Amino acid sequence: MASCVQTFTMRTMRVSEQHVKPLKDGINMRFDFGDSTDEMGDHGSNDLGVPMDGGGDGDLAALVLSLRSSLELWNPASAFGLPEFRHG
Amino acid sequence: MGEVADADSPMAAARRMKDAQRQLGAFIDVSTAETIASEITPFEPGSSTLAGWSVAVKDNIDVGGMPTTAGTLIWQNHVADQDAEVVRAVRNAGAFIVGKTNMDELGWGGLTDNPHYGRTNNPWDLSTFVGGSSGGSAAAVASRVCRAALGTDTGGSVRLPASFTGIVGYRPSWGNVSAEGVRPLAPSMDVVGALATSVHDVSLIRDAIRSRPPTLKGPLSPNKEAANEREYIIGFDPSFLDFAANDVAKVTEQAIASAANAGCIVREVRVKEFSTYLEPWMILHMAEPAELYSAILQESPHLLSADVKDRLRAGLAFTSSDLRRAMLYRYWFSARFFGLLGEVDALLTPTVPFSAVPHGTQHVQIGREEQDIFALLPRFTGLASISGAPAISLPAGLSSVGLPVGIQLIGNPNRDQRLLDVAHRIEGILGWSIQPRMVFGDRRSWNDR
Repeated sequence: MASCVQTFTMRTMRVSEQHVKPLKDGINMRFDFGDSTDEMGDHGSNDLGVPMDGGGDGDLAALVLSLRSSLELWNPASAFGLPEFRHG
Repeated sequence: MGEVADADSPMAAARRMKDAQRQLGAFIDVSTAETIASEITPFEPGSSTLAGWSVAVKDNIDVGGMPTTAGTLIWQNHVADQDAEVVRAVRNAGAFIVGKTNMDELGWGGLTDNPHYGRTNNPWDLSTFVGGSSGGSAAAVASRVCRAALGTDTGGSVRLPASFTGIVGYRPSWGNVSAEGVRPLAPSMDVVGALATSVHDVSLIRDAIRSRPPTLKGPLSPNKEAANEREYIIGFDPSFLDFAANDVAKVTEQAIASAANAGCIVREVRVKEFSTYLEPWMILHMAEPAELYSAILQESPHLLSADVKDRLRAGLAFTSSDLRRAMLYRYWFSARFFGLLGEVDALLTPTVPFSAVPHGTQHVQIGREEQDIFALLPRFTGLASISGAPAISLPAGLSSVGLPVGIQLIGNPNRDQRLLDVAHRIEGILGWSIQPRMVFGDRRSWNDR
């Protein structure tokens, strides 16, 4: 049974594992899936008792990742004029 | 233009509702419309500002004695024991409530295609969508079932359906109107707004529902020339047109040209953050409902549609770092945006990048690209939503297939009166008077009756 993240990568084929890992961790943390996301997936349910509908999971994971990636291009410290800090 | 409307009849409005429902699906339920109407004692015409006005209310706003479903199954059997503050306000000003209008589930969407309560059709062309999430309110007003309607606007939910149906949709400055008795979606952006067929009418509604005491001078400022004021300054960013379909860009350009020809000062501006603001807006727009509705997602997921469950899960998947960054972006963006707005009386944009499309459409052509309509819907309306600025959509022209195209004016925060004055001026310049094919009852303007 595919996990939502695996479903997502199979569906989109655009995102490398290094990008998916933080997302996977984030979703695990919020839903408290435990050690393996493989335990939930197309027809499973997470620890909140919420059924995970396989079709939507890939889309939502892709959306979260896409939004996060876009925002990470913005540098708040620089935007608010924080002077550059150098050690030593 | 009369300051006080002629009276409408509650029973006549109830009959229009029932006539319209089969084709438009604008209301949650019309089965008790005539019973409700029979219990209404209308105000005497002229006795107050909204005397005799028929007003519909979006179904996430409490009307005492009527169900408030918010478009979900969560509250399908909930009957409000009292009016929301905004409903009390319009009743006190003389209006009567005709019924509750259809909406997207929880107000989270832009189509008014509700899995539990049905789809609302556009009175201009029943095969096209009406926009949302206040789509039932827009369809009811556009088809003249009622004179005005209350809606809510988080990311554009009043302005989008107003644009798709050729009417006026006004989003007040955030915090200017009470949210008591209104089901929240994303409280940092939610506002109650008004839909009507003229700026005059939304101004009167605004005067009734706003939290501050009304001014003595009335809902619209005195004639500007008589007051010897300068002409209005309209800001416009030409790059906006790159984000709009050809016919929408054309109508927007014509509106700008008409305003300039009529004497308005059109000032070219550049909203540099326009290409980046939508992502942080979307994070907040997903995270806030997720926090509010996570317990329902956990305990009663069968009451939510698959789409809403997916969005709630996505909202919960954002980390605290994502949210901190999105909030910082919002402050940074708003400060810059307010600086730009301070140089003009209003910023003019298209309301939506495209006009109404057939039900089920997933993509529309923008320039050379096919783009997802869900990403396009908030493209322009999100500017006011993320910053809390007031905004209004006005009908400005027709698309190549004869469907309405709206323009949006965004004003300075908490200067709603100024925005409405500018909108009244632009409305007069554009001279929009076209109605949809599907109208129930009298086609004359409400003020001419």
